[in-house]
Amino acid sequence: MHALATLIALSLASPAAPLDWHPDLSSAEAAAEESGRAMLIVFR
Amino acid sequence: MVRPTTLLSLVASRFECVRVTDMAGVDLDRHRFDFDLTSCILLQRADGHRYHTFGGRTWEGAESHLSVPALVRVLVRTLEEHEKAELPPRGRSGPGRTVEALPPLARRIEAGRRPACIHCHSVHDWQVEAAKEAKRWRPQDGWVFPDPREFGFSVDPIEQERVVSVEARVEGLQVGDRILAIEGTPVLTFGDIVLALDRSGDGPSVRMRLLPVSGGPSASPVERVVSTSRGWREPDPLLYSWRAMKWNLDPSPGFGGPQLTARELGGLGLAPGTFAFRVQYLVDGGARAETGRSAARAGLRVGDVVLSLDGRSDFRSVDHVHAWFRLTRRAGETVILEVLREGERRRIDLPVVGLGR
Repeated sequence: MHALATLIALSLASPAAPLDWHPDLSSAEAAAEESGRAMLIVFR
Repeated sequence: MVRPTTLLSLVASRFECVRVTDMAGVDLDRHRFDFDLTSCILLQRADGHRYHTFGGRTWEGAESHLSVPALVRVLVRTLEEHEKAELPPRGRSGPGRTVEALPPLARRIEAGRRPACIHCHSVHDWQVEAAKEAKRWRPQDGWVFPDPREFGFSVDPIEQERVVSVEARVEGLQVGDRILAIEGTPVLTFGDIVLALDRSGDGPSVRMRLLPVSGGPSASPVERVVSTSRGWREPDPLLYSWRAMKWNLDPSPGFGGPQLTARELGGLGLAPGTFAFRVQYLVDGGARAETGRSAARAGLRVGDVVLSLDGRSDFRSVDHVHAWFRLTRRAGETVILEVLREGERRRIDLPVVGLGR
């Protein structure tokens, strides 16, 4: 994976604002239905 | 001052986030993007409604349209759009079309040879294999997710809906226009544009909704037909050269190898900046075995340094050579190679071999 894409992916896990990554798409979709939030899906 | 990467995390934390590193089980229609990319971010609702696609690249580099500021911008705008949208309906549709359902891969899985991981770019490989097997494959099917420069325009790397160059062959678009939609697909990113053009059909024009630069800061959106030259959907080999998809196209040259470094050029007495590559392999196995064997019979040898093909020496990379060969040469033709071997220049008449499918 290229350097900037790596940076983007890493910054999405910044200790300053840790993200809860869902383990898979189904989990993320179920959570999005429940929470009403949009999804951010990183394919890499 | 907040660091951009911290801001990115803060904004992203307002989404349900997931990373997908294996395409197994992924609904290819619901999560369609340019599968040749090494990374892509989809912003969408649980019901599959896509807000935006962030990602995409050009031959110049994998990071041509990737930046933290650009990503923060699209995330913020997506949050605004999501807040204005109605909540998605409860419940989701079935699994959809997956790569494992494609017959060539399905048979392999059934035979107990499931790949350990299905990479993004291999989706195209399996789709092409399935299409060829079903005799549905057409050469133009390899032309996917075009660089907007194929149409005749380019966009800003940060404000990716803003047009920064327009070729003379394009009518209806100006530098400074902001593209809001192409054929109904909302546009905010380079990835949105690429996806919209991929869906746009074969004609020389597309409908765009624009904020015209001529309208100034308070411009209202306008609907406009933007046209370009016929044949824009015939890919430029250089713009196409980075794609993994090119390895599925035929005819193929049957050989390849690394581009010579500056030191290697000097060692051979070639001028700096000369494009040349060394034949490291001749294909001798698989479905394309005959391409390499034919090249060998024509006189090509491992170790030869290729200086030109059909008189062309202006290639930018070996990938460019492969794209040019696959996109522009036809089975039955002959490609004239000029090669350097043991200090002597030689001509090799390379037959272009087709696969017959």
